[in-house]
Amino acid sequence: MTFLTYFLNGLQAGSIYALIALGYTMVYGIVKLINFAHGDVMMVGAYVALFSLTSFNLPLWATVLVTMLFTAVLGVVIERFAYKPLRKSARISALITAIGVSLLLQNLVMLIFSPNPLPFPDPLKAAPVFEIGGLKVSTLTVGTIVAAFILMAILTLFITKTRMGKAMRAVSEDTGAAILMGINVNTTISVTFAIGSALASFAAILYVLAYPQIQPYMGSMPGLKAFVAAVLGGIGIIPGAMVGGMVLGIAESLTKGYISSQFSDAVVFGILILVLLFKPSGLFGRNVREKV
Amino acid sequence: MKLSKIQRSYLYNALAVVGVFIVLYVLQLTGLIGRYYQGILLTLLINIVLTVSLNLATGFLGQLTLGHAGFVSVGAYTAALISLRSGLPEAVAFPIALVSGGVVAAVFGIMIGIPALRLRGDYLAIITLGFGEIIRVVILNLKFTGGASGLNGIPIMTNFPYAYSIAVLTITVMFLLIRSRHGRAIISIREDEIAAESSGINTTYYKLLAFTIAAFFAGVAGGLQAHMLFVIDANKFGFIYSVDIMVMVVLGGMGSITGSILAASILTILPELLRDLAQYRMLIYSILLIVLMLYRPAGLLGRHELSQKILGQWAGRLGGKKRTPTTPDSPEA
Amino acid sequence: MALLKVDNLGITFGGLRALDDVRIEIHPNEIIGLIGPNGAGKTTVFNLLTSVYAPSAGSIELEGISIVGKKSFEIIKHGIARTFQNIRLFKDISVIDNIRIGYHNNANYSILAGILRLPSFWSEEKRMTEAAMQLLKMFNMEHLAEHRAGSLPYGQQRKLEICRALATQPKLLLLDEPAAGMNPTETRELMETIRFIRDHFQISVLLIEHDMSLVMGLCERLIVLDYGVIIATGTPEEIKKNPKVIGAYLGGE
Repeated sequence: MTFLTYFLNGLQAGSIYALIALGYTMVYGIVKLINFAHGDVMMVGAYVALFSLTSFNLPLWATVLVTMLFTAVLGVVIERFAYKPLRKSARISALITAIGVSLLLQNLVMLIFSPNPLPFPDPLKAAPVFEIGGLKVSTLTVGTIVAAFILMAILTLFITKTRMGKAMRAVSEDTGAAILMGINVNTTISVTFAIGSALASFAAILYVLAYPQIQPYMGSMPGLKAFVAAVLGGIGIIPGAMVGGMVLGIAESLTKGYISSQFSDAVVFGILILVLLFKPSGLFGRNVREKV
Repeated sequence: MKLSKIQRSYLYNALAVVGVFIVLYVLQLTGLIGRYYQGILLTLLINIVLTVSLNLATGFLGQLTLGHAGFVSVGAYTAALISLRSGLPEAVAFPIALVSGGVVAAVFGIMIGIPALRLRGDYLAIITLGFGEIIRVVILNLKFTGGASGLNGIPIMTNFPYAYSIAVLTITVMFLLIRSRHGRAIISIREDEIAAESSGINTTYYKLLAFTIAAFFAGVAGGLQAHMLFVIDANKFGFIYSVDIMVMVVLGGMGSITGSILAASILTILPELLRDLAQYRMLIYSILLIVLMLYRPAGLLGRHELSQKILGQWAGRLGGKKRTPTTPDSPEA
Repeated sequence: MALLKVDNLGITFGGLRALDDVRIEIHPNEIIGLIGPNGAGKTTVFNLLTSVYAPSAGSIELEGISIVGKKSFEIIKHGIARTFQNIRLFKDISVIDNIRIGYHNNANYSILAGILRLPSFWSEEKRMTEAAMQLLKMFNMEHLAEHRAGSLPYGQQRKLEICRALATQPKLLLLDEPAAGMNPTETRELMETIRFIRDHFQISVLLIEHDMSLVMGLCERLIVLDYGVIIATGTPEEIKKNPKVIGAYLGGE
């Protein structure tokens, strides 16, 4: 019975990681940059949600919309001002800038709100508790998993069926050819960042409903874990991020349950190191050689 | 005795180094530089060692590594443990502790470098970040390193002569290494790794070499810190500390030793002068990083070294005033 | 004994067989041309010879010693040097430093000797600098020694890349499209240069080129590659008349 608990908890955490991982993977796919600041965008989302719920007393559904919109815009703004000018520069420059943006977000939030953790309200207090296989499962757990799957399904449809989705795939494959086909690369990149950020903030709300405390560094760990998930699945590959997220969440949860909580962090790092050393292209990735 | 141009420049540099030492030492002895500023001076010298060492891996080799603080930590703890547990008299233990700190950090450098340096760019950065964090967490969980409370009671042995000598040694070794065929090999990897391999450079070896030497000096710096702070705690040597050092390297110029000295000085002294703004430090640093990368990625000196030529140029630009340039630390050899 | 003996060389990328059953024999002091339409696999041959890729099949022997499986930098020590299609110079350092890097393995002092500035450092550095300046003089570039390599005009960048390759003291020099972007005058100059290199340094040259005047005027023998297989070998005269070669370039009867 406990295995099922751990498994479901793992799916819940994995859903959150998957949603965040999608942002990393889509951005990497399209501009070949690891968006160091992505986890912190997620954190900003949590703060926006807090603000909406407490200061504006918005209902949960409105909070979600407002948060996703805000972070989408934030993602686009960051890309335009910090990353776009460096598209032709050395990789090391873009990486350093991303670190700068990450720190900037953390420190701005610290100064505007407070460096101390803030409590997050629990709008799901009255929600029913389900019973699956003799196990008590909260609405949140079910809701997280279901919501994540729905979003991922919508994203997949978007990527495969819409023009913008196809544009995103085209730019990821071959930017030069995409330009020749008349695709507006800048818009496509902006949309990618917008979607990735919005998904991350949705994940932030799911996360914060489960762990109702927010602080300026809260994006670091989930961000790093989501990054590991993206790498595990194959960075740049969207189904990879989804699968990687789930796998990582379950692995982490099982480790927490059967070994220890401390060890679970180590396991996540360990997976990262193993993947980077033995199959850097990830589960779904292909080896791409540099053309000499 | 007629000296060659190179020998003359070595002589000038040596004289300048000794001269600066004497001046600063006397200023401290006579109390013109008070205790508070003496402490800042020590921190400055340690920061110079840290920045110059990281610059070898990031500026000259061209690989962004985000786990440098981990090596500092390893060095600090090793040195502290030797001073605390070896039973040797403090004055004897201290130099041994420093060297050991460097050596153990270098060993970690090799262990981490061998797997990590197979990766490039973003991935290398992340994996070194990961290793830095692993080091931190492991140290916090080991009993003999004091666990979460760290180590205390470390004898205060770091003084101006020690710190100055080590800083000068680090700078000298870096210069001499860079201006040798081995230094050129390291730089060629930054410029074009494939071309370097095709020119006969064993890139794996040289990447590891640069990484390990950087780790060594970071470890020595850690030892100096431990014997200055009396107390060490692995949490102080986390990612933020790695970023602190990185900001200094980036500001000074990735690939300029004198740039690193300059930037380390600025970023040690300025936060002291602007103590009221301490809570904004990381905010300012983050903006600095972004602005630098967008508008002046070369930092202050880029890949050039502060030399008589450049000082002369700056003096000229400042309004045509003819000024005799001071002898800087860069040999022409 | 042949200088270079390549037998049954093949490589597969994913499902695509990029090279199949490639045989090459080069003797000392020869200038051989490797030609063929774009995408035929010519640079891939170079990449295999310098161990950028590992072959899926076949053997490569330099002076009788197999070099398959050796690392790139080891192959340089064995005596094969190359230039690249899109010039790969160390752009941000000086011209002479680029060449000094080529001499890396021919200078002999340890890291410690370098740091301690022992006599071996001084004597080897002097030797390296003199040799590098000699090379630059041969190519009329000695006045550019301290210039930043990236600031050189295109033609001189190409020459510099060749100098760097020569600094490694190779027995076989691989030139990848050395005449790319050159006008006829420069191309003629290049022809003289390559002949001079062969005569002065007593090395063999294998070059990939699309400029037929260069190829026909310079090479003693040609190897024609198309879709990863050798379709003809012979003297320029023979190749000019070979119907398979004509077909490959014109794509028809």
